Amino acid sequence: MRINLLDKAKKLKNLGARYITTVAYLKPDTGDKVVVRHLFDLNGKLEELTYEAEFSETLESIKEVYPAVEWSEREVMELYGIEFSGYPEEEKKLLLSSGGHPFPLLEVEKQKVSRKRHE
Amino acid sequence: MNRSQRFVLPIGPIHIALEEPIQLKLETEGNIVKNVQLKIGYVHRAIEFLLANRDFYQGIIVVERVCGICSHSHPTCFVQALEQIAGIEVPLRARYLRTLIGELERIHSHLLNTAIACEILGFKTLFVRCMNARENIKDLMEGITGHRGNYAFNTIGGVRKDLVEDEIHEVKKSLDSLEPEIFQLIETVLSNSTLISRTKGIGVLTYQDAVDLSVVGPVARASGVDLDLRKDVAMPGAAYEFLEFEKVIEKDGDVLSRIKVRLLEMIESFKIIKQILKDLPKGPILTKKFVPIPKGIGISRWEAPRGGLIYYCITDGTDIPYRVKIRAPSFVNIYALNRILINQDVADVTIISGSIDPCFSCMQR
Repeated sequence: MRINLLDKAKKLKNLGARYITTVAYLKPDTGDKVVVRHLFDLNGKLEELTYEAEFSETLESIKEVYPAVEWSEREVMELYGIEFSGYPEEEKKLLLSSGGHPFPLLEVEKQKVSRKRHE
Repeated sequence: MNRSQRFVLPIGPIHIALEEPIQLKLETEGNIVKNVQLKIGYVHRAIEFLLANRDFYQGIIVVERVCGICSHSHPTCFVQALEQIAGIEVPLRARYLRTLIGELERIHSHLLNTAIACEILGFKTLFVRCMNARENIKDLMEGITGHRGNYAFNTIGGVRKDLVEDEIHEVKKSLDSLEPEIFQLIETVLSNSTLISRTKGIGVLTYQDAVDLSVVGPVARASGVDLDLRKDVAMPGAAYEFLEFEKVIEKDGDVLSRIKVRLLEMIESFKIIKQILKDLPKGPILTKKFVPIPKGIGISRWEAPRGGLIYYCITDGTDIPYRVKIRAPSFVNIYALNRILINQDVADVTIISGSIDPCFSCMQR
């Protein structure tokens, strides 16, 4: 588990940064890691906390500092299979709780990276 | 009263009081809500998945359908991200026209929310008047774009339909008759003692909670948060930097403040629209320098009627986006209900939820 995310989030919070959203995607060039990016607004400018996660890695949640991150982190968990700490099993899904293919966007992007490699 | 005397009141996902599916589990002590559990995911349409499999122009059509109310904001924000990646400069006239439709969209959205508030409070006459006024705005939008919703107005590098002089004259004429009607509505709502007493002091979201929960749009501004992307950030696809208007900010953070912010924002929107029609620059509505969208990342922000909308687009040099992430304003605003509804009366849950102007389809994409 990476332990410095929460500290960085606290620093941003102290500067007055507002949380916007969390974006995740499979690294387009190599397809070996999932990029997870928390975006913040600091006086109209975008700031970000970015890290590249191994598949199924557990990352530190920043929910304690930015409560609104909860739904975004849950979305990343269900769409990409990346775990965030501090979520009980029943809260790991958000949009697809009624079922569906596991980690759908991860699968789509894996196919894209693979197609690109074979071109 | 101890915890064992609490009662869990489930509302939804299919319920007579809900327009769209969501599940609220309200843990109550007597009539007072003590805990809230929100469950979403009932109208997930996999829009981001669809966008990863459609080309850019098909994508514009798809994102128009993310939300039936903000069906101009979504495509504008999407094309703005693509224009950023490709370095396309949008002609000034197109930027003004996008802003024009954006402000008409804000008026019709705010009128709809006010109408819903009146309906929830049992003020049917005012509900009908708000909806009638909204119909006139929709007629106007149909006249300008050719459509009452899903306007098909935006494209990469500009807009798809121009306004000729005769049309500008007609739009001005319509607005001249609409403006007093809507201003009178605003006055009626803000001076109605029943409406004020029923909405004042309930569903309070304090300034600190609004900041902590990252809420946006009228919900944030009603709690005193000085946040309006039209003023705060660069929007290269719009013309706000050339137009004069004020941010509307209230301090109390209650349902009445949220209603007030929306009503007063309509006055600012009329100001913006009048300036656009007066100063609409001459020139093309579409860029002449078309370039393929290269590999890159575009982050686009737009002040939709419900608040800050963001599109995060990643392209890989093909004509299909690699990844499009959409953060609709309702995604953060609805989450705030977890806090706003605490210690409120069960009877007020509907009007408080309505005051957030939630769009469940929009946030679940």
